[in-house]
Amino acid sequence: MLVIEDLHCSYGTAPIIRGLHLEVGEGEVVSVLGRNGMGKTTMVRAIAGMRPPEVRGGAIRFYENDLVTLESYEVARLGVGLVPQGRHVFGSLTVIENLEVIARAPRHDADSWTLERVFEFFPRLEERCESFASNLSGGEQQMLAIGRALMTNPRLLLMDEPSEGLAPIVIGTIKETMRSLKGPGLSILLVEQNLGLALSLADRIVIMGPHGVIVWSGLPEALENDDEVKRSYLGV
Amino acid sequence: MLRSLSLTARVKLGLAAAGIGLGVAAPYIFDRFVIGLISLALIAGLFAQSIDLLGGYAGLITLGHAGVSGTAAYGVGYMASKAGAGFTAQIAVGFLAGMTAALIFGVMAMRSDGVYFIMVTLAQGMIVWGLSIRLFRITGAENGLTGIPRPPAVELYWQYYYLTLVVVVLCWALLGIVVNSPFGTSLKGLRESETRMRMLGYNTTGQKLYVFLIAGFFATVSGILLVYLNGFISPSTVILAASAIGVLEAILGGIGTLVGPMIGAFIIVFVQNVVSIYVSRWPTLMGTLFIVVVLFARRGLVGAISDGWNKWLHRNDAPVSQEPVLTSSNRTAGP
Repeated sequence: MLVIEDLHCSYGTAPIIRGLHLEVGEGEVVSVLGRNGMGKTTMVRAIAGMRPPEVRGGAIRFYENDLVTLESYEVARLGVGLVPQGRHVFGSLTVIENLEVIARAPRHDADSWTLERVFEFFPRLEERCESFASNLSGGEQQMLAIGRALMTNPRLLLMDEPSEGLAPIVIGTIKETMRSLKGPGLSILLVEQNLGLALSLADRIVIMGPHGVIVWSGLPEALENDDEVKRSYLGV
Repeated sequence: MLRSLSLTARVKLGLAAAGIGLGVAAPYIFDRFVIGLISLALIAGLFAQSIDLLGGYAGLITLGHAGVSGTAAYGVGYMASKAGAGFTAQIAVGFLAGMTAALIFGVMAMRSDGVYFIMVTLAQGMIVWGLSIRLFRITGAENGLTGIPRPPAVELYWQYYYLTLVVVVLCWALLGIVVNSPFGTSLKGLRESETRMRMLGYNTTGQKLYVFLIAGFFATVSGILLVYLNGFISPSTVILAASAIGVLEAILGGIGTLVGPMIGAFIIVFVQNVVSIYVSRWPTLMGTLFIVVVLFARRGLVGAISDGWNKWLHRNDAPVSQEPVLTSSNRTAGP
């Protein structure tokens, strides 16, 4: 569904990604690992249609569309739901308003996301539905950011470091929820620094090296047992 | 039914009823001068509310809004004093002129935000002011347009006051529907972060044009009400200060609310017209008032009152969560 071919991105004159190839299949969860500064967030921004970075070459195909030529709101409408790094919920809006502000139902089937379904997934959000998002804890904000992305009825969920800055116990909760999100209708591209989260969720793991080039790709089990790869590319 | 409402809701309902009651009774209580001022304040309040829809809700501060209301007023004035047309034609042309200005300005401004939006709208207001001075045949230049009579049914000052009251309350209700709709929520999202709204699938460019047109409609109504109130229009109606005072009224009363701009408008209109009788340096007084409000009530008078009310309401509770203050730091943080 998502095919990235020979992608080149830069910020101004500084090239960040030089030749990235990546594929995410229907219903697949792919986790992108890599150290800081390899270009993971740049890739996420490029897919989501956010500028900068400028895309200098290559293609990002999502079904039959080339996302490189599209505006970010057009990318979102095609069914790419973004959970941005640092969560970025609307602080001056209540939890319900955060979810309803982008509610739209392009697919009128049972799989469509509604407020009720999001609350079913995150009961904690229902308890705090009238609170302003800025008053939520980090974990609650992360749940809200995921719920907000789901409300756009995505076919691909782009998650940029959902575990960042969260306590281990909260990461556990998010992990459980995301495991139940996995299904035929939703593919997930999970960018992570947290090896545990990636290993337990991903169907396939890719490791991004300098300049956004994929240096390793394989099954989670293979990575778990390969201490050499973990040491040289992830520093663990 | 009343019992099911919270204390805050009942107090609000009571205040609204008292306000409307006082509005209806005003001509029996006050003299002609005060009623004229209340009419003026109601119109200024509607104008400030339409600015607040853009600035307070959508985060798009405009400094050229008087260009829209003024264009509408000039449309009416031209049809009345130069073309000698009937009232229906006057009002129709007023609406057409105001909405055309809003459409053109909206298309010009919809791709910018923040400081650039302010500069674009500032320039638009200056263009209208420049044209009002240059286009002598249409606008009468510095002399303005005089001899704009009111329709016979609302000719007397108290009749026109009631018309103003009804129109302003009606517009207030319509604005209430707009800001409480999903569109209103999306405006608050836009205020926080345009990038975020776009990545969630919002065409924010179109959204900005819509809100500009809606605000333009209410500014147009205020412009038409104003020209019939004064029976006169001149370039001083469309100067930068006219737009700026609308913004200040909204800030003084409390941005991001509808009652705030109205309260701000009443304060400023009465300080300008009543206090100036006794104090010759009333602008100094106004300036001091602004500084006090900005320093001690970041969300304006309405914000200060509602904070105080919540504190009193929850005086025995654990600390209460408050609506976050809109600052430049949380507006610009992140995408």
